[in-house]
Amino acid sequence: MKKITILLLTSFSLAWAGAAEKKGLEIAKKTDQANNGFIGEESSMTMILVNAYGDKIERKIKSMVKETRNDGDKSIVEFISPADVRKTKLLTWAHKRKNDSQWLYLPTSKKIKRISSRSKSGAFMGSEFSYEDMGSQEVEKYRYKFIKDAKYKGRDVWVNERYPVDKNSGYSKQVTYIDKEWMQPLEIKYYDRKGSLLKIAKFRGYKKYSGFWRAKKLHMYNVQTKKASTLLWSDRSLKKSFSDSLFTSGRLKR
Amino acid sequence: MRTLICPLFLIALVSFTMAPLHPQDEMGLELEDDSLQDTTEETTTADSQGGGWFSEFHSTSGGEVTSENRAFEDDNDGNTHDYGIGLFARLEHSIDFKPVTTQVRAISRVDHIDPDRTIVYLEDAWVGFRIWRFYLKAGAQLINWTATEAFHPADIINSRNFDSNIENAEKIGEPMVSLEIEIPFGTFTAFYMPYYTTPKFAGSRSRLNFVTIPTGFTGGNNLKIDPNGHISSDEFGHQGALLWRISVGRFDLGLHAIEQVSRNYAQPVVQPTAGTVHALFPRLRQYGGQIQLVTGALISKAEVVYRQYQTYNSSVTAQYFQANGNSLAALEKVPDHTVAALGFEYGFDFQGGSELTFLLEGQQVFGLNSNQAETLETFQSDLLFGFRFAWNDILSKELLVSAIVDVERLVDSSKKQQLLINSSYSQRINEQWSFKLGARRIIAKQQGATPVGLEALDDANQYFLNISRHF
Repeated sequence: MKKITILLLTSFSLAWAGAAEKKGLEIAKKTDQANNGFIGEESSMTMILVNAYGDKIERKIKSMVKETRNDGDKSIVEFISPADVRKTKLLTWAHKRKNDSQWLYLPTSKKIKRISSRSKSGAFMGSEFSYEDMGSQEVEKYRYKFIKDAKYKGRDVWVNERYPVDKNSGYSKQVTYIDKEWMQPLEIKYYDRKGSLLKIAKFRGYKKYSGFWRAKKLHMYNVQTKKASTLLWSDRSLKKSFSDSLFTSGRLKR
Repeated sequence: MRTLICPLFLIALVSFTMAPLHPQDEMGLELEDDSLQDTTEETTTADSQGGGWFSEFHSTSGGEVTSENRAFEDDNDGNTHDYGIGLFARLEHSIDFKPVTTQVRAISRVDHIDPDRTIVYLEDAWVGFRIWRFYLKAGAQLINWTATEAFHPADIINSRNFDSNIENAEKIGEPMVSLEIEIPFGTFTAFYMPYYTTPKFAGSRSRLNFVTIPTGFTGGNNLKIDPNGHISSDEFGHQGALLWRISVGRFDLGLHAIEQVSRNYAQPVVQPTAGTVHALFPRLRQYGGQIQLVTGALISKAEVVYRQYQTYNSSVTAQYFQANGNSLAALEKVPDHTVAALGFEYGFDFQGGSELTFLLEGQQVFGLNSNQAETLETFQSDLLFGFRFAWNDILSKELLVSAIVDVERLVDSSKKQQLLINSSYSQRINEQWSFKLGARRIIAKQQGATPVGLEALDDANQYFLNISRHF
């Protein structure tokens, strides 16, 4: 009897877990599909870095993103300030099922350098955003598990856990709070490889651009180092048509 | 001089360690505007405002001014400059007014102690016109084809200012017209270079001078070999290059062909009648390729080139002799050879965002005997070991340490060792200021009657501190 009970409980747990993973994946796909069709996005950003003592430094960035069918997005991030990194550019070809391809352009030497795809935990220009955070968040890069329906500052959200497929990821898991109407995250909690809470990302100021909801502010707080970084979007334009050739390494020099 | 350098060093050190304390907000969060939604009207396009990202006309200016301070270990030669206090400036202006783009970038350096270091040149001064898949540029350009960190056999188009670090000498802009065409498989670029830009060498009193003038001779003007093998002192002449590049998956591949008067190697020749020594720049054709491959955390890079030199005409060999007095006729030309460089980078990143990257690179010359190879290439059979540690923090702190060792001399106990050690630390002081300090050590004892390659810089050990203002 005892054995049958354990067997039934185990079967139920597995079935429930399987259902949770299935629902988590469905939610991820749903939010991904809701954000398909933006074609291209162009924006200017201010990145504010805050150290543990509260000192602030600003970086100004502009970016272009091109939606790609059947694979991850292509993007270029260019630094406008500070002056010593002006015109430094990062080109990323995100991929769904393999490591992203990245190139860094160094304007002083005119050198185009490939970046190792494993430098995921490396901090992007001294900020709390890692290269992994800055990359395109493709559905295929994670496994999912639905946790619950909840309320987040009065809005209905799904709480999903996602686990990076890449074993070289800097995170063991992420907990996402996804707005059911906007189909966008309101908050993401990042857990390091040891399973401890590492960072919290808060998405604020959602606004509709050409039919797509986008946050105006993204605040990343590192709970372990007490440092923070904030991205503020000042200009944003969607449904932009970019040619593929714009997102090639050779174009970085111009 | 030490009394001047020490305060500068202290200023940098104090700026580095000083960190004003401010109370920390709870959880470090921005609490002022925590609204989930921005309720202002939907914006579908972002208006440009003269010089903005979205405008058709975009203009940027900037640059840096650097106080360059260096000190060499005393060589007990009162004729040489053991110290340098220079002021370096780089100014840049670019305009993007589709379909036209322009860029002007110039550098200058003035050294109070060593006037021979004074230099002004253009790195870039070109106008570009883009239409459809074609991009035409005309003017001085800095070209960088290199895949590797220290050894760059493929990177020969630009002349160099050799009064700088020998493994990465500063480049001088090369006047040229280039046409780039985007083709289904990559990019194809043709270059036409009608002008020969003379390299700059360190002054005779500089500790970085590696040009030896034989006793009894004086320096003369630079000479070049034209396509027919004759001597030419004309700055103008036809030169060109072709480049094809493609990125496929984890590969970046490039193939090139260049025909030009050599910028990186000059054979010292003497004119006995006039009692002068000249730098004779041979003409060469170079065919080669470069590749980068990313495999997880490993980046592999390679550059391989074959150099084919123009034979000297008999009129050349009749007038000029090798610096050692031997007939130039016996040489006929600079011997053809192959140079290959292979490099690896392997990185580790840490939870705090910092990165540690190990570097391993090697260069080997093929097709020449040992003496020839050492004459033609400073690094003819060398290995580089090194690492780069980047804190990836607000101050962009970075530490770089590397050593280049001559492998051929290492395994041959009859030869004296050659070693070049380089270390540097750099960081920002604040948003406008940064500094870089470091040390270089060169061990390359002379073997023969005259110094060859790195031997000319033996014991040119230096310490430097550069403080930059960016704008």
